[in-house]
Amino acid sequence: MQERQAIFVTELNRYIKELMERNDVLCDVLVKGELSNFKAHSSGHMYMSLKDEGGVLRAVMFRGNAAKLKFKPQNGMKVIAHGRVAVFERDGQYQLYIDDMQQEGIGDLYVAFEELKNKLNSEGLFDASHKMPLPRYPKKVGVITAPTGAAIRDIINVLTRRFSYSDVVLYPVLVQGENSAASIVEAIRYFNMKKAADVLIVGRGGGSIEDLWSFNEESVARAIYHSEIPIISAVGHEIDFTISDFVADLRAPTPSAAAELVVPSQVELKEKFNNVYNRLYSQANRIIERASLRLKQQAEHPLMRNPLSKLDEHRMYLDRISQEFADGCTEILEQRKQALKMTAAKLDGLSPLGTLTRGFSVAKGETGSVVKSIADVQVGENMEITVSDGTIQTVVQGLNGRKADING
Amino acid sequence: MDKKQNFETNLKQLEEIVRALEGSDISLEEMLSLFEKGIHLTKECTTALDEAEQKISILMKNRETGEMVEEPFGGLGE
Repeated sequence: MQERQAIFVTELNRYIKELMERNDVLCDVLVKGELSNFKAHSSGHMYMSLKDEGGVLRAVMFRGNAAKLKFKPQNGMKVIAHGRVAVFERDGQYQLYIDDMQQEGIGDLYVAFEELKNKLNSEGLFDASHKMPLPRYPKKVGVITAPTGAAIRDIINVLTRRFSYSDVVLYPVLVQGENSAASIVEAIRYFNMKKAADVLIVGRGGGSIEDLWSFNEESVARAIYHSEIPIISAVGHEIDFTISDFVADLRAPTPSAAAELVVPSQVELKEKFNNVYNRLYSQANRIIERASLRLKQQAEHPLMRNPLSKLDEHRMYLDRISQEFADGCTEILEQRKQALKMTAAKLDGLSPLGTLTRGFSVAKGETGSVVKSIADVQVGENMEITVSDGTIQTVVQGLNGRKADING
Repeated sequence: MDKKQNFETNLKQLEEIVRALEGSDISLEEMLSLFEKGIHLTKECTTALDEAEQKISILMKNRETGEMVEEPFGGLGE
């Protein structure tokens, strides 16, 4: 004993702690037991013991995990806790550090829930393509829930405040217990058969998973699926998901949220009308302004300002054309005159009168024909000789042929 | 009920009118007639909302006939 080195308590505790931390079983353990000495500390942490006939296990659940619990732990409750076993060095105590805890028996419900969910999903009951749009302005909102309690109160409060246009009709049903599912199914069928509403809210307030169980029943799911009236599912709180939520046309996190979703806000709607009113005015103004601008543009056209200007233009054109025509005529006339002069000059050259001025004369016999040969006249015949400035009357005295011609 | 039927149709018409007015190809005459109609519909819708009296009822089973009957629901008292 003496020879061996003693270690400190702290060291031993740490050693045991490390030993346990390395153990795979202790790091990930599922423990069944009954709650006792339960204490919810103001810090949010929960301290408790788990016990069975044979023993007790100290346990703690820290705030982060404790906040996620879906039930309120109470002494005597049978639970299944998940966590790790470790040593609290200061006290030299080992304890269970719980990260998740369920009520015993509920585990079976979770399994059933998952199984039904998978089954209905594979059958297509959750298909987005099957979901109906909600009417925008429902005349009548059908509510399927308990006639007492927070759910119906919240729904009616919201509907009254938000949109007094929609009537509300409640079909009272049992929302938990044995006959609950059947009464919900009957209500859905009633509304469909009588076409007694434009949209339905099916739901209830918060509760334990067992309380909400009717909304996980297959019969309810199928009734919702087959409803020809759109259905909003509103079961429990934000965190609660039920089969009804998956199959409904819309899931609302709470009953009052369902009421918010099912009708528009009257205040917003009136504002919308105001906007429409304003838009109508501004659109009309825009169109009128555009039209008057066009009118102005037309009015400012030069022709519109002085309609005679076009006439003047035409007149000026006419003047110009006629001037050109006159000018053209004169020119042609001038050309013709010139041509005439030239022809006259040429003619002048050919005229016998010209020859006469050069000293030639023309002799005509008594018959008046021009004498070209001695044979044309006889001795004693009267002749007229024309010279450049007049005529000479004469008588033929003799006729002498040219020697060459006589000889030849 | 008829009034409510009108409300929906009026709203739908109103939306169409606004769309038409916002389109570019519209004559002055068309615009004026749409505008007039639109203003009228807006007033109708607003009045319908103002005058709507919300009915809140509960379905109760008639003991004799077994039929469900709507009765006024006043169960909000606490």
